[in-house]
Amino acid sequence: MSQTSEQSLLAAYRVLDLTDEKGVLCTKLMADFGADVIKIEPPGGDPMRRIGPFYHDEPDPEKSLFWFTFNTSKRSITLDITRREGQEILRQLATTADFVVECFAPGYLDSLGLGYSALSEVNPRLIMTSITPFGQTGPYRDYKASDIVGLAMGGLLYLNGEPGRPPVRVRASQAYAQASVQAAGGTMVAHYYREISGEGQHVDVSMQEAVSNTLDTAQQAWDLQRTVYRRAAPFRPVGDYLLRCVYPCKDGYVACWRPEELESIREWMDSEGVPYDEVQMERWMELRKKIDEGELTLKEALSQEELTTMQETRVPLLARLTRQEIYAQALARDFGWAPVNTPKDLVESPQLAARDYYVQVEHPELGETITYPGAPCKMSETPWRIRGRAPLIGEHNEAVYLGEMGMPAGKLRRLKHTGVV
Amino acid sequence: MPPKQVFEGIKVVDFSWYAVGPQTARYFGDHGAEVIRVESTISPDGLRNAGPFKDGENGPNRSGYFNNQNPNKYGISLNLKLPQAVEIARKLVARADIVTESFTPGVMERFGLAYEDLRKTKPDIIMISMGAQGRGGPYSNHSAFGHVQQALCGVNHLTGWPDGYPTGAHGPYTDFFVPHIAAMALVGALDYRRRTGKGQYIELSQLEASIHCLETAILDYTVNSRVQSRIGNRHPQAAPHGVYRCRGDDRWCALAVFTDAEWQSFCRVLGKPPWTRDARFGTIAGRLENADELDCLVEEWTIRHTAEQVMTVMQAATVSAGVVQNSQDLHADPQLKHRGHYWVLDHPEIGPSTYDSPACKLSRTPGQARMPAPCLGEHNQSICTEILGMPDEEFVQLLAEGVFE
Repeated sequence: MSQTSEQSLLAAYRVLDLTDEKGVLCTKLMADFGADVIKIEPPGGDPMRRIGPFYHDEPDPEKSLFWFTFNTSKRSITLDITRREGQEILRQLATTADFVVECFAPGYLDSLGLGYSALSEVNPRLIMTSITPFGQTGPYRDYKASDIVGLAMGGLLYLNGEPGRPPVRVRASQAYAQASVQAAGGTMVAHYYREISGEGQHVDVSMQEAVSNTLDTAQQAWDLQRTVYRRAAPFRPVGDYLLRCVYPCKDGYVACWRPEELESIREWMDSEGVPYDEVQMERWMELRKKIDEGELTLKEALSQEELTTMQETRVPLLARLTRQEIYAQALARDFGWAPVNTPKDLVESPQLAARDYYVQVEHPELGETITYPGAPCKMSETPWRIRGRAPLIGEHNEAVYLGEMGMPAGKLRRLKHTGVV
Repeated sequence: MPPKQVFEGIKVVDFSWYAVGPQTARYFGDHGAEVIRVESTISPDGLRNAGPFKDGENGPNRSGYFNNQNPNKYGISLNLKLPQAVEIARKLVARADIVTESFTPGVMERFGLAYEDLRKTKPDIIMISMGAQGRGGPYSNHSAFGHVQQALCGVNHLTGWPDGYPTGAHGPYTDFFVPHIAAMALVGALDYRRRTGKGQYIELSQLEASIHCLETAILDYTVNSRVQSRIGNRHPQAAPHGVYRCRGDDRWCALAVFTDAEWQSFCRVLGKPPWTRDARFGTIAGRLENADELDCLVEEWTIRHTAEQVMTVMQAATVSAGVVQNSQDLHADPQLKHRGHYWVLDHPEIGPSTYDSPACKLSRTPGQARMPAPCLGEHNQSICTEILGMPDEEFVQLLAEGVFE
């Protein structure tokens, strides 16, 4: 059990972290919520340390911003679990652990004698969460999948992008992010059950299924209407229509979504001196009123072409204004519109500043403090907190092996010498 | 005897609407809790009026959008502008463990159902508010749907072609990221209450939670002053990497080749045509540098096969490959079938229909499909008379007063 205060969501619990990119956000969330997460790295360092970008673009396993981002509040030990002695140590660590989170191919840990059946024998309360591309069972269980393949097989990729061009990915890996957060949710459910029943269990997470849970209504559109939604940016398929979402403006882009009032848009265009077809506008407002009053359905009132024309009316208005000018109007007019923010905008956001979102994390080895994203939610009793920067390679070997496991110093020296640690 | 389901005996009152809150509360229903979804017929959950509808026919109980977020819940409709309705809501909270809501800040306060109020009713209540941008700050009162939330939080900017629109991911994407973090916090809070006897208030800003899906975008700016932007399907460590056109209408296969060993396997699958021996493609650095040309050459091969063929032969050679599946493909996917991913629940108005299900299969206590989403106000009477023990006459009286509108 860790030494941190009780006033934390997971402070009483220990996690052995054997994740890769698919699961590393899951264990980061657990660590920042207070769990004692021990990242188990192969001797020489975890492969994720090679993922860029790097601190000041200097490729170095201790300077990966990917590593920094996802390993806050964790400790690190090195251990070669492919060696027999390494396996024994892991089994021993599992006796005092509450969770193991891992991302190896199905069956791999079993082949090392470290699968759920083996570890639950030494610790029946253990929860093992296995995050894999397609899950532990089924015809695709041995298929490999990086992020883009997870997005493809889960159905999100097909829907992303502009018509006439290939489906396109989010630059930040969303199949991994989804596998991680859904694993975190499911792991907590199993955790609660363990605490009330004393029984651990195996949580089998499929990245494909995680992605397939993010399709908004595409799945139901096929089920209920035999309609296949397609990518349509800057429009979005909604029910039987395509609605435009993204528009260029003077200094970038804005996202415009309902609700918005035509009366208000007309008044705004008038005040900016932007011309429009007044007869058409009157007609739309009348139709809109009839729709709101239930006299007409949207389908009876407007064809796709006319709906598009109606939405395009705002193009010249938006083109002459900046994102902030548009957002100020959206706030005043209670429109659900907002700027398309860049990472720079997010770091400089007045909203996030007012809420004290970002946190400063010290990196003594670099001689500086780095700004990190802060709490994903504020909890009154058990606040989220980054307790420290990501660990250095094997930074906690001595603390864990000598201090907590009581390993003789001579044995640790030998294990280091033979490359097990 | 341990309970058969994780949250047996746990009670949730779900005041939330649209996508984020209802999915959060769904976690508890899927694992055995009693979840009561509070709505109003005067301003029903917007998803009830949003398609797709069964057979294209509109109706508040026919929306697949609404239903998918709300299986395993009971439904009550209450006009919370009336004190009698608020009283019923309070009685539900008095016997509950968790309260969820996702209104604009101030709405629950106006109903007299803010955390400080509910705490008086139930001192150890756990409550979560899930506003768009949180409580406090200049934009606190701006409510926006997920379509706009993903623009606000940076996903749009990072998605698309370098010369094209910041397309974002399909739909109100962040609505499908945030609930899992909310559920994590809520389940943890339940365990904390078990350990200490204390409830708590959780205040979640959807924007703040969503920023955690941006990988390194924030640190790359705070450390290197680099503003990451969209790069299509390029990947800094893999080439070929992207989607490649296959035989058929709008058919594509995703491929990702990271290591030299994977590249060798990839070339073997293609039958090692002469271009694969081009020295420029011999190293990952060279493949990345010549990625455009490489993509064209790969597509000359993929276009001659179906996406399924490409996936099958590549996977047999241990190369990461997958069909870019549409929703019709998903419904026929043998893996999802094997996993029992889609739940089919028989809904009183639209009959058997399909629900997404948890991506986590718990070996002892898997999530269970027990009930379809409730029709609007479906359980008004049973909640009042059976759960709250209200006499029938009183229920009829309140009904006449418009309490259940």
